Amino acid sequence: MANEISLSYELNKDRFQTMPESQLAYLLIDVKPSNGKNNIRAPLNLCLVVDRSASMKGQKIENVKKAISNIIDQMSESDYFSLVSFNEEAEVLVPGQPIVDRDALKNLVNQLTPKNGTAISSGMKQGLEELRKNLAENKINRMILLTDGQTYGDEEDCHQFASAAASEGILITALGVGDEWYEEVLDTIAQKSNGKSDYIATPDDIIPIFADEMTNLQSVFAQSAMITLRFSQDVTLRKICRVLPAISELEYTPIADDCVLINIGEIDDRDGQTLLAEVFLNLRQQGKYRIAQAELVYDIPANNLFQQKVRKDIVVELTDSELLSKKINPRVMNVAERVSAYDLQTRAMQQAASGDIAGATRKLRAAATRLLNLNETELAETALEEALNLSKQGSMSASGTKKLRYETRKLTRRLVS
Amino acid sequence: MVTCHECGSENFDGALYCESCGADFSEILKADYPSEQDFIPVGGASLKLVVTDTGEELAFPEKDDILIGREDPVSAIFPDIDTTLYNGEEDGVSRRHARIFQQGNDYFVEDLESVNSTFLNKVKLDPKTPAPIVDGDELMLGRLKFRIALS
Repeated sequence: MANEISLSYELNKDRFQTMPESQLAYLLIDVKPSNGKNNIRAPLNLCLVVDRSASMKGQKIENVKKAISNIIDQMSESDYFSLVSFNEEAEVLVPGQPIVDRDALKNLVNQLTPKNGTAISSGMKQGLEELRKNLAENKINRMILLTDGQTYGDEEDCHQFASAAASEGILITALGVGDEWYEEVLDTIAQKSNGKSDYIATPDDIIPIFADEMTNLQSVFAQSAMITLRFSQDVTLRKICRVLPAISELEYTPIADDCVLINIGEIDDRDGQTLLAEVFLNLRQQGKYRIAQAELVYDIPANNLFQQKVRKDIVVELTDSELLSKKINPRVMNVAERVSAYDLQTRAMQQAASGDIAGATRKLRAAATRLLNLNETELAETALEEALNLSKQGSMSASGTKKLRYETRKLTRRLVS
Repeated sequence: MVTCHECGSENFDGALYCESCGADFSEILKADYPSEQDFIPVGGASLKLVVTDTGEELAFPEKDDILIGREDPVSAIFPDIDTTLYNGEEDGVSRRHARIFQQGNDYFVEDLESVNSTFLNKVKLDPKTPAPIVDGDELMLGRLKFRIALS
């Protein structure tokens, strides 16, 4: 049995009270490297796919150039780099190659010149080709996609390229700068490839966010991680999401009536990953029950370890005593509270999109209350402002929508540990 | 099933939040949660906080680093001095508001990036910047006022 990664869990109560009907339990699953920091790093195979449409002119493109030059400085001789720019068409500025002459690479980066429109899929297609040249399972294969605009009519192609990337072990980080791009496209690209998406509010934020992304890349410990959860017959999974490193939806496949397979992607050596599951317990009698078996399979590219396995039994205790069932687990409660703030704003936006303005306004106000309880005053204010925008004009502002959507995902990062 | 106290919709037993309106059911659980409110009795300590409005004296636990704030079991925040009973929440005291610590013979107060700030003798303190305190100083956390009594 492998021991590089540990699986552990916590429930929202130490003991649950026996009930005549089924009840909800909240389950946190922690996936963490067993020995903290990872010293050996797998080579990177990194492709930057950058929007060079006309709207990128000025500070945006200049900061992108600086940010990419910084990344080149941080890469090592064993890493591979490529750069693709796109408007309606894609152009390979740096074909996939090892880092040899950094200055020559930076000169090529400086040739980025904005003009014309935006077709994200053309850039993704070309980016994938550059990555494929040096693709290997013992590398960390990654595309960083940056755009500032809406893509026209090629959303479906974007989704397909993201799925193709996932099947080849390439994760995509999709970054949107400014307020003009569609969240759905970038979020779907990120979700399908098991990567992530984020909002860069102003051109000034480009350089720090690229630097963060580089730090993330250098802290990847394990990849291609999959969790199988096999539930006992009195237990059903209601939903499951990722809560660390950030809140995000997880795509999972039922592989039998009582069993799901969840692709969780990369595990870093700082936070690892934490998942929050809601399960129905349909248990009537006092006692200890194994409610599920969790199995994690992962690769550690730096050590050439593939398909490593670790297992954990998940056990709950049921009691007839009301008093004994009162003891709550503050960490699980805190995570659940933060996820519910995220859920409320997500559902508010869905309701607004479907035309239920009154319902959406109520949800946003509820989200604001929750955010205030969490001491997230700035986000709470944004939620209230957008509730006001909704009730007055029937729509939310682009920047407020993006701020709520992307900042509430990070609520779990600010946990008191 | 649990009926939501806000919107009346039905929710599953054990749910922490109302599915339809987002109302917090965890507050109900929290109310039952055993409180760890436990002040060290007044007397003996050389430093006290006196609530300006009521004259109540709060003695410090025997520690050289005291957290002042509001207790919140959900975030696992149990400050050494919990202002909940003294209107802390209404007066804008953060859960982790400020700390008071001793260095040599001197005491210092430091604002812990609280939402509504800490004021010493009506002057707003910069967050994370300790300021010395002496007998008779007025300390205000959000809008909650104390007098420092040093003996």
